[in-house]
Amino acid sequence: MDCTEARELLHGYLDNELDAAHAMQVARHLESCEPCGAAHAFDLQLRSVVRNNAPRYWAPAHLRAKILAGTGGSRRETRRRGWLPAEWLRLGASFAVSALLTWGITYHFVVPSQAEMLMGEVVAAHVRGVLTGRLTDVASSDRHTVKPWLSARLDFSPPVADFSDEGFPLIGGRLDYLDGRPIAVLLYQYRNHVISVFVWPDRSGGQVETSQESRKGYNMTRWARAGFRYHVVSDLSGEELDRFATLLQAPADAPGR
Amino acid sequence: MAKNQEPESFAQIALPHLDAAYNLARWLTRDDHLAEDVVQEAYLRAFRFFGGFRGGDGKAWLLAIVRNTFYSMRKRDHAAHLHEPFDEELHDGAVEAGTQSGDPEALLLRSAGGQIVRQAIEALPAEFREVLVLREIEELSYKDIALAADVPVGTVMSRLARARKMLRRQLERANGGL
Repeated sequence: MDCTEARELLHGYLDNELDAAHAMQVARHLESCEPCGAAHAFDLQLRSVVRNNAPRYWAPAHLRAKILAGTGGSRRETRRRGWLPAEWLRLGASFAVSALLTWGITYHFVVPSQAEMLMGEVVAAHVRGVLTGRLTDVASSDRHTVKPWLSARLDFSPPVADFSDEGFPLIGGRLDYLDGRPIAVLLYQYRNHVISVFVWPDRSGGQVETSQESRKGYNMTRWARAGFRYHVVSDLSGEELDRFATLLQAPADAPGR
Repeated sequence: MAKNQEPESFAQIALPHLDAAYNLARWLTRDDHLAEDVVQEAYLRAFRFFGGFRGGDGKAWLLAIVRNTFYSMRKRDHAAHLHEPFDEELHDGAVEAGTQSGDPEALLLRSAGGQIVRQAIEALPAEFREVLVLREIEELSYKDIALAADVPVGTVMSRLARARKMLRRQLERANGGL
C-alpha cells in the first residue's frame, strides 16, 4: 500500500470502519511510513481534543415538554402569526389519536369525534406518563394511602382497589386533566407493563357504551359504572387487559376491595 | 432502541432520540432558538412521515429528518442568521493531504478549551460540520451517518477526512497561525 492509498483510508482506519484486510494493510503502512504515521497520530489527538471539548447539547426541558405534550406552537410560527399552527395543535391534541388510533386516515379527517378525541387524550396521557417516568404523584401500593390523597385533591373520591393477589399490584395514583376536568389516574403494574386507569364522575347518566379498542400497540377499554367513567389503557394484550377490567368491574364488596 | 416484538409507536421511536435531534439541530443552526424550531418542525414531519418508517434504525431516520428540515428551513428563510457563508479559503485550502505545517502538538494544546473547539467546528460548512458532529459527538457509525446525511458510505469517509483537515486549519487560524 502506498501513501496515496493509505491517506485515502486513514480516516476509515481512525474510525474503525475498515474491513480487517484493509485495516491490516493501513496499520502496516503506518508502521513503515513516518509522515503517514505522524498524520494519523495527529488525527487521533485532534479527535480527543474534539471529543473532550466540543459540547454536546441537550434538549431543553421545555422543548421536551412541548413535544411530549404536543401543546406548544412552534416559536417561529406563533411569533409570526400570533396563533398556533393548526397542524401542530392537531399533533398535540391527537398525539395518540393520529399516531396510535387512526393511523393513516387522520390526515383526511380533520375533526375527530368527541369520543375519539377523548380516547386519544387518554392514550396520550398514558404514553406521556410512561415516557417521562412521571407516572405517580403518590406512589403507594396501599389503597388507604392512595384514595385519601386523591380525594383530598379532587371533588370526588375515586374507588381504589389493589389487585396484588391477582397479579396486578397498585403502584400509585396521580392527578391529570381530561374531558375538561381534573381526574384521577390509578396506576397498576402487570409484569413489566403499566396500566393506567382514568376515573372521573360520569355525567352522561350511564350513556357511555362499553367498548374496547386495540390499535398501534395499546389496548384500551372503557365503561361507566356506579357513577364513574373508566378508561383503562395499557400495552398489555387485550386478553390480559380484559382480565384486569373484569377485576375492576367486580362488585365493591368482592374480596380484595 | 431494541428491536422488540411489540409494535413500535411514533413516541417509542422518536422520543428517545430527542437529545440527539437537538444536538444535531443546535450544531447546524448554531443558535438555541433556531435549533428548537428545527426540532419542533422535524418532529412534526417525522410524525407525518411515520407511516413510511419501515423499522430499522430510528435514530438515523430521525436525524435525517432533522437534517432535511434544517436545510429546507434554511432555503425557505432568507433570514441572515440562517445564511451559511461559504468560506472559499476553508474549502480550498488545507485540504491537501499531508500538509504538515507548524507544530501539531502545540496547536492541539492551545486548542484545548471548549470555546475554541466549538467555534472552530461552527466555522465549518454545514455538510462537513454535520458529519463531524455525527461521528465525534453522536459517535454514529459510517452506515448510520450515511443514512442520516443521505450520502454513500464512501462519501462519509471522504467528508470526514476533509472536515478534520478543515477543522485543523480553523484551529490554526484561531491560534493566530502557527
